[in-house]
Amino acid sequence: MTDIAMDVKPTMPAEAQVKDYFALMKPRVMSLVVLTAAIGMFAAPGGVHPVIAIATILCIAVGAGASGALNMWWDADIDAVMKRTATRPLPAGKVEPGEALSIGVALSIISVLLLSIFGNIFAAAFLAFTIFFYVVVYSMWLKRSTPQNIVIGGAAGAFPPMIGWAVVTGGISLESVLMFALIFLWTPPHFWALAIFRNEDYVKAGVPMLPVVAGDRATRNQILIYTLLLFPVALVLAFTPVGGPVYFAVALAYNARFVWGAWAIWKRDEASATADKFKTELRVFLESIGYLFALFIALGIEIILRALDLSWSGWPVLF
Amino acid sequence: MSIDQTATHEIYTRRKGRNVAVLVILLAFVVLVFSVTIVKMGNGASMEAFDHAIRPSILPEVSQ
Repeated sequence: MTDIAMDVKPTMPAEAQVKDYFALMKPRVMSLVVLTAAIGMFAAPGGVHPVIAIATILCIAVGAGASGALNMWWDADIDAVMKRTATRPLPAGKVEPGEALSIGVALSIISVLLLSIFGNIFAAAFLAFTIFFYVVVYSMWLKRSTPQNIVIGGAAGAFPPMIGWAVVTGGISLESVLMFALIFLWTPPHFWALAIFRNEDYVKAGVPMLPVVAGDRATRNQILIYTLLLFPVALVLAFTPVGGPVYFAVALAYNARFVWGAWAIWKRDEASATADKFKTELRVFLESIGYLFALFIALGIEIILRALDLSWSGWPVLF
Repeated sequence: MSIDQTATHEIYTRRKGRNVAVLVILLAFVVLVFSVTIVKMGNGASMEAFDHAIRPSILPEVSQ
């Protein structure tokens, strides 16, 4: 044995840290889930004790995190190929696939069971269905088989405000369905704006996103169609008991901006987009994130105004 | 020839981080369950469930 052999350091097995497990739960998606579920909950008639609200929102957030972990477990192969997702804990080799699977399954069961105790059976069943929908229907089935993957799969991301509403009321109503519709119709233009400038990634991974299958032009058309469909749905919510003038003003401004952005995307073609490195598509994608936060925060302001008895009594509630 | 023992130290530091996180989560969970129990009892929620035997305490109240 020579001295050289002694210089070789033993290779340590990669061991996940707390932040890697946290990243496994898709914290950015979770933040949106927490916001929308909380607004759905506080907007519901009847009210809920703050401790119960915190406990149930936590259950919904953990359920969302669990489905994120299961999604990363299932999609580790394509995540490794795509630039945007290559640094996720599984493709980066920080978390073992088996670990991600067991964390996902365990947290799914825990979150659903606890929501049935802290909230009610209906809300818990709804959360279980949402996890099933995201993991099985979207990740396992639709994502790799149809360009409508994110249209149908988007329902999973749209359920949280309905679950929050169900925690208080034990059921479903027009307001919660409209909050669902708002996120459901927002998802396709949001993701397709991303898919246009990440097209290469999806081609490489073999994911049949709309730009890959139907082409750039069809995607631009669809983005405009969905933002136009979203506009009236977002505004109708203003004239329900959960809406009001503040929400109406915010919805009007942000929808106008979103449609304007979609129009700008529609006017361009692949060549002009490539020329300026998808500047417009990137801008609209980022704006769309702000759009959803703004509309739900506006609903939150309406809740606060109602609680303080400052809401305008003359505001027409038509639905 | 000796093995560089310091090479194994870092893993313990990282495991400590994980152990502390588990402790914090467990303590938070205990506080959560305790708080929810207090609130639910304060609201007068029934803490009894059906146990395959009829007990007067779980029957709905009948107004006279």
